[in-house]
Amino acid sequence: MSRFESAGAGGATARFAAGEVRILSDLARQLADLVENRTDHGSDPAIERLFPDGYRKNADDAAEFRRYTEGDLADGKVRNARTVLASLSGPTRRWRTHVTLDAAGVGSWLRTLTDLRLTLAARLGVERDGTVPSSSDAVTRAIYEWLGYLQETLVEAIDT
Amino acid sequence: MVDTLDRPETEQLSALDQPWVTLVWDDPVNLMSYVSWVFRSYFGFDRTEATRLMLLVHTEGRAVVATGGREEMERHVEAMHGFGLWASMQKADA
Repeated sequence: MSRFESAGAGGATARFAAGEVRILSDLARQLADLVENRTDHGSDPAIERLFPDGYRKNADDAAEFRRYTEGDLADGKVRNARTVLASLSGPTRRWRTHVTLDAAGVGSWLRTLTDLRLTLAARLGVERDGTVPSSSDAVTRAIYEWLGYLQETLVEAIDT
Repeated sequence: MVDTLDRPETEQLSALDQPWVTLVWDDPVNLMSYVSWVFRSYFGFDRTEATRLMLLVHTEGRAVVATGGREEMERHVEAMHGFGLWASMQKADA
């Protein structure tokens, strides 16, 4: 499994196998679609978690906060996912795609990996204590855990 | 309020307002290392303070990460949502 390494100056680098590039690209594309085509809140736990209430005790304040912030929040999430997608179409050498990120690119990757893990966790029904139900789809579970590993290596890579 | 004469008016007003807080809530998904990084990179906390707050979120279920005026807290909550953290705001004593 590929991991991120420091590239200095807050940047990071990784070399992904073709299969990894395919999965990450698919997921980033799906995330952008999910956010762009979202409908009413309450029907999809993933959307609820990606766009949480800013006020927990006052529904009117929460609705107003949402009106003012949701558009920008959604734009940011889509932009980050597209940045991830673009960085995965870099040069391929010896069957590996070389991804090199500056500090801004790292920020986009960390946010998109977070959004993907939040979305997959909602799909898997991850419990309050972090337990992933063993009855859930094994492939989705493996991808969820792999994304967590990848994110951990990315935080480590920039953690100077 | 003897020491506020030379302060800008807005600052006096916000000092008289009841403060608001930004809360970050525990969730089972976000990595501890990532949450700590968010606290450092966004709020500018040093490693010790960021780790303390991250552990507070993890063990107590939530932590106050900022206190101040309502608009400022709204900006913080919006930023936290941008990072994928589960954040909300409320009056300090609520």
